[in-house]
This record gives sequence, C-alpha cells and structure tokens, in this order.
Amino acid sequence: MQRLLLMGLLLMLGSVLMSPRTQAAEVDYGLEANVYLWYANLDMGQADKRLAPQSDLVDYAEYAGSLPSQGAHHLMSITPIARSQEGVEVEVETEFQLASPNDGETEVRGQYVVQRLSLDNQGLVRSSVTLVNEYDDFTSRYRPAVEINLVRAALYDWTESLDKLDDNRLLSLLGKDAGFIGQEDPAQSPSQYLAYLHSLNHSDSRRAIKNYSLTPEAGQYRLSFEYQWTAINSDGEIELARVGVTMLIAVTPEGAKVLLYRAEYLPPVTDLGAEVRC
Amino acid sequence: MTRVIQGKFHLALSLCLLLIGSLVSGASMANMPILKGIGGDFSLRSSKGGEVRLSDFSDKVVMMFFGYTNCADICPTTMAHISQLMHQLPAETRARIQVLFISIDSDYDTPKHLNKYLSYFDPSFIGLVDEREKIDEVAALFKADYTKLAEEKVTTEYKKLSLEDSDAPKRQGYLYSHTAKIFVLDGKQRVRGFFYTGTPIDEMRQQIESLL
Repeated sequence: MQRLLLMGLLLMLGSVLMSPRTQAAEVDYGLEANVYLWYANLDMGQADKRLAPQSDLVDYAEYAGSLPSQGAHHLMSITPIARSQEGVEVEVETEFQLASPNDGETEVRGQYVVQRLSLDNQGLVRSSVTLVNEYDDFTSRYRPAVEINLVRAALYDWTESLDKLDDNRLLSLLGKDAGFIGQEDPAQSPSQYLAYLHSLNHSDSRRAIKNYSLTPEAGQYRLSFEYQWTAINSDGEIELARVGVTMLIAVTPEGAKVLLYRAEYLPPVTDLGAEVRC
Repeated sequence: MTRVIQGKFHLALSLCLLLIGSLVSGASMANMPILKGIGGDFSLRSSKGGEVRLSDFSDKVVMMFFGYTNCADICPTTMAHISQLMHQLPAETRARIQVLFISIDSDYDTPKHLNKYLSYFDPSFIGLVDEREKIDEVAALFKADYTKLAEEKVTTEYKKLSLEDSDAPKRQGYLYSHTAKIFVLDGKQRVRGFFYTGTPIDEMRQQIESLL
C-alpha cells in the first residue's frame, strides 16, 4: 500500500517536473552576455562602462594591490545564486592572468578567482566581491581574453535577442554589409526574418546552444553550433527545431559585430540504429 | 476497527493518486511536438490510381514509410507492425488515419505492384511511386536518406531464382539502404514524430489518438 502511495506520488511529481524543456539545465544567455561583457570591459580597462550608477563595492582583489591593470579573465563558469526585483547575483569562476609589467615577458603566474557579482536589471555591475583568489604554483603563457569574451557576449546577446525578438538589439549587433541567411528563406533580409518571427506569435521561445565551437580566423572568429529551438505556437502547441548555425564575428572599435549569420534546419535526432536499414 | 478504516482510507488514497499520476504522466507522454524544418506537401502516383497529394489527407493522421517491395526485412516487418496497430483500432479511428508507403524503387515498383503488395497488410494502405526525381524530392523534404546498393546479388527475387535453378543465368540484384522511421504527420501535414518497428503498439496508439 505504501508502495502504491509512493508510486502515485512519483508519477505525479514526474509529470509536473518533466516539462518539454528541462528548466534546471537552462542557461540564461542574457545574463551570460552581461557577465562576459563585464570581464571584457574590465580587461580593456573600461570597467566603468559596465558599472551600475549605484554600484557598491568592486574589490578588484585579483589585481596587485587591488588596482586594476592589464589582465585577462578566462571565464570557467557562471552560476546564478539569487534573483530579486533589483537584479541577479552570480558566482563566476575565472582563470585570471595578470600581465607581466616587464616588457616581452609572456610567462605569468595564473590565479584561480571566484567572484560574486551583483548585476542590476540593465545587466550593469553593482558589486563584485572576490571569494577565492588562489595563485598557481606554476607559470603559464599569457593569453589575452578580451576578444573571446566580447565574441561570446555577442553570441549570447544575439541568441537572447532572437528569443526575445529584440529587433533593435539584434540589428545593432550586425556589422556593415553583414551576410544573413535565415533557415526559412535564404533571401530574407535580417529585418524580414525578424518580421517573420514576429508573425509566428511564438511564446516561450528558447534557443539552446549546443555543440559550440569557436575558431579564430584572420581578424575574425568563426562560430559553429546548433540551436535546439523550442517554442509554443499561437495554438499552444510545442514546436521543436534543430538549426545548424555558422557565424563570423569580428571585434571592431564599436565592439563585436556579426559579419555573417547562416542558419539551416537540421534533421531531427532520432534513434541512430533505425536511421538507415537495408 | 479504526486501524481497518485507516487502512481502507490509505488504500483508496493510494489508488486515486496512482490513477491521477498515471493519467497525468500518460497525457504528457502522449504529447508529440511539431518538428520544424522537415516535411512539406508533395504529389505522387497512387497505388489506387491517379495522383495524390499529401494535403489530400487533411484532418487525417498520416503514418508514412519509405521502402520498397523487394525489401526482405525492415519493410514487411514495419508494414506488419502498422497493420497490427490498425487492426486494434476502432473503425472510426481507422477512418481518420492514412498509411502511406512511398516506394524508393521507382525502377521496379509500379502503382499496381504496390497495390498488390500493400493489400497483404491492409487494403486501406496507399502506395506511392513516381519518377526518380520526384521520389528524391519527397525524400529530401522529409530528410529520408536512401542509397541504392547496386549489383549486390541479394534480392529476394535473386535468391528464389538461385534456389530454383542453379544453372539459371546469374541475375544482378540490388538493395536499398533506407531510413526505417515511420513518419507521423498530423492533420495539417506537420511532422509530429517517428515510430519504429520496435515502438510498442500501445504507445503508437496513444500518440496517434493524441493527434486526432
């Protein structure tokens, strides 16, 4: 009898918790973009551009004497801790490299840094408190992180803009004469594609980035990944799509700009053993 | 006495919870999302005569399979599996389902040939075949890849000949490598998922009923 009770409860719990998308695994791309932008700006010596008007404490504890100087934050993880009406708190794990003050010296001692950031609703940093700051007991080659962080911020921003249908934000990420090939109609311009997306009246649109790879090419970065796109259509039905995407992003004085966006539908993933038979 | 009443109460509660739980989980299992980027309307020659379009089956759930009549294993197994499902459904539900068998062997299969082949499984099944280019277009629409493995002496026809007469001239056969998916389409011709030969009949039935 107790077993029956347990089974019933488990079935109910399972059906309540198992949504078409597993909520727990979702990455907040808007948040990720803001965190990457913060560290990119920090490494460019322009932290003030991403500081909230009412910022409290930014301890800069990873820098010698807590005075910001040239360095590279390589982000390892971003974990949301708490959300409120005022904003969000996240814990960020980074591998930090402080550039050597000596000219030509490329070997530096890295640091493992964990910081708790508080961001406001505009994605600006209100506070940054260092929780862990451990020095490596070895040296490694100094690798700048600004461009990679800007490129990743652009990718997450782009993804968020597609889901939230923020036309202005998305169009502002496009570089001059950027190539754009949407998965529905390759002839559509970005504005026409956005108009098409609006016409779908989707709710709860979500593009999850999978199988992501980033390759530096001459003066730009090639991103290759898959969007696993879920949305609810105007009839309340769930729609799923796999979209293969290639992007070229360049870092310009105006920030990271998309030079090419090419998307195409991919076949649904099915049981491989049943794909091809004789 | 109190213990007996408590026991009965717990039993009733447990059964209710189990029932509700299974109903709710069954409903969520039955949900078939719309798969974007795959499918579309097409027209091919029908085993029942004339030409049919996929959109002719509006408001019906369509189970569609790409195969060929000379296939020795997966095609007859799959059609038998679908046939088994169809026989378990009430007549009014069957009337709202259409099974389509698209032949990828336009060199051999004809509408008449398909009609005979499919009638072994269920006379309501419709076979579709046409020129190679048209079949290729439909296969591309549904991302149903197939390849002709030419000159492989393995067709049923060849095996029969070999058994019957070892002195008979050697005939060249072939087989096709093709997808084993049963495409499930809703009444608006949108792909909603796939079944396989191994999909339990009860699950297929539940999923199809959720689309009707």
